[in-house]
Amino acid sequence: MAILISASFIGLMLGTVYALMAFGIVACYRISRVVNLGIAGIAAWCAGAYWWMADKWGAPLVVALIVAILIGTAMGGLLGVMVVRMKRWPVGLLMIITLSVSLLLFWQSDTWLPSFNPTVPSPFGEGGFSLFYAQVNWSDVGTFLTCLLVVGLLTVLMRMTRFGLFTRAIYDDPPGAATLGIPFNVAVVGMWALGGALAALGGVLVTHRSLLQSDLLLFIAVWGLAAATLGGLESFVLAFVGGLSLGIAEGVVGGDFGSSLPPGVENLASVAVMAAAVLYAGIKRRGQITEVTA
Amino acid sequence: MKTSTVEPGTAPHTDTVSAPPASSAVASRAAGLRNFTDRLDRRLERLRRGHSWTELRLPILCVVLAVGGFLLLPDDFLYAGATALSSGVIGIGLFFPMATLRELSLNAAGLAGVSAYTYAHLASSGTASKGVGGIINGLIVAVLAVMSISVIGGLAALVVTGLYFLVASLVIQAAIEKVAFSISGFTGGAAGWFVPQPDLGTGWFDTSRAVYLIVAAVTLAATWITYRVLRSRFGMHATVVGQVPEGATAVGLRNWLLKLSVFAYAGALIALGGILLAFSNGTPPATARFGLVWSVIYLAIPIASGLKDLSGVLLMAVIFTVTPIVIEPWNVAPNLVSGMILLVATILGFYRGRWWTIIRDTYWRIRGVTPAAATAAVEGA
Repeated sequence: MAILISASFIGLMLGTVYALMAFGIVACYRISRVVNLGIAGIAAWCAGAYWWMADKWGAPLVVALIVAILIGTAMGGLLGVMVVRMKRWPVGLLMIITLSVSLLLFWQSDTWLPSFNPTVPSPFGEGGFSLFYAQVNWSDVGTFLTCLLVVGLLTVLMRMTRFGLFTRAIYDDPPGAATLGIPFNVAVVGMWALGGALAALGGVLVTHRSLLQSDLLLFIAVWGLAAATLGGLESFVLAFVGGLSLGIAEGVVGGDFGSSLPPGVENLASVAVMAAAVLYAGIKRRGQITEVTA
Repeated sequence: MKTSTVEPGTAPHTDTVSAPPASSAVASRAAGLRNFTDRLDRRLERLRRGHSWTELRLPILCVVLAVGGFLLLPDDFLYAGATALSSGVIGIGLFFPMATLRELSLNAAGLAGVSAYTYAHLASSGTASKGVGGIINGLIVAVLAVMSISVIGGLAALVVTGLYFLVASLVIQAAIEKVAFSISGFTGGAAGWFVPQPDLGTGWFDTSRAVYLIVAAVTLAATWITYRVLRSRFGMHATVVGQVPEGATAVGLRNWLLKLSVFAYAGALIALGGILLAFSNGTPPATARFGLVWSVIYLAIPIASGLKDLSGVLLMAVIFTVTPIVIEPWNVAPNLVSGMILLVATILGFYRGRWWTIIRDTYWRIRGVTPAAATAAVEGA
């Protein structure tokens, strides 16, 4: 039981990492139906800037975090402007463009970051406590609570504000939204800027657990895409749940049963869980579409 | 081209060549050159009537590059060329389900890795070749294994589509990475597997050139077969299933069978690409080369090519693979190279029609004919 709880906790933290990257993807998809792989680059660049400000300049961590998020917002906004100007492009090509932006940002951040992969300081401080066999850091707890807070704020933003209403209208029926005079460009740029801010926040919090390594962030972003897809790519809450499902499946199966299974096979069950989840989400989504069509 | 169809007022262009003045050698050479270009024009016109010129220009460029590479490239670039062609085969393997079923997969690198390691494992005993029997055994088992995995992944396409299928394919990639690649007995561990290559010693036609020739021949064959398959009854049916699934069912097509067949064929191509990668390298690359990031890059190759034709995919793969190797001595960051190639290729691919129009119009202006008149002449012919 103790192993199960410890493994669940590790999985929970892993799932939080995936969910953090999923938020940016959901924000951008929610307005333009484009999968924004640029969030990996934004996350890497902003995490690098955060590390530079905190470690090299000695800036307070909160200030460094705010500046990093503002930089992410600006980058996301610029990508949003690009998407508005390229609205006639197929979404597949736009996805590739955002991937190339990520690669260019990786290169740019690699030019001024040290050759070793530094550990980014956590805004929630060091230290922690033991939970059965798992070491729980304050940064993990802070990251998890931040995730909950972000999900809550985004849900309020989407459901109870005028901006959220505009976003939902544009997503559901772009021509109808245009007829009503909803400012399409402002909403798109705004949501992409929000996606950039979430990517920056995710980058800072994620790179404390992993290292500040650009390729690793692209890997985490793709898993974030999986988490977002499990949630239907429309809901921040479901993306969070999707991320946690992935992480817990990976943590529990790998941690709890890992020692009793042959090498490699301990991961098979978490993959099976993910497969079952994506098939379930896809079938459910298809059922909803069929109902609407009928 | 026929002058009779050129409108009055445009620059004169004659089909028949007037006899050159005997006293002028320069005029004679000019007339000879004009005669040659006119014959070339007529030949191209005949070719154009049989096949669309638009359809042929990229394949011709591919063949010219492949043959030119074989004849002219030094040994170190031959390796780059062989790797590029192998990536091209993997790109075509991804292009096939995109063109027919409109499904994107994020597992190409993992599948290629499985085929590379399986082939290497069976074709050699670690450090020495097992002979022709081992090679054939490795080829068959590797291709069948990857086809099976691809079909299992394709089962997801029976119930989900679009982004959900993309993530379902990611599951296959994760399974391969986390399970198969963590078994050192499969990947060969740190030492890696030996992959047999023809030993031709030194000289112009050495091992590198033989490897390039074999890889190019296999790539050409795979491309041609895929071209024919896309235009076959099976290809048309698969496209109908992808574009209008309800319509396909209504006319009696077995959607599930066609979908799984498409993924089986795509798996065979990706397996072939993985085997060629191991063959051209002399050993299968490290597992990182078959990781998720590479799956994203492989997926980007057909998308950035504009999803128009197979030769475009091959050219994109060549550009994407060869450029980093060629500019390696200048220590240019790989992310900068990959990012710029993706960006430029995607933009060029999107505006491809416009670029061809500019090139064609420039060509006609050099020939002294206005583009409008030239278009009218060609259409009239």
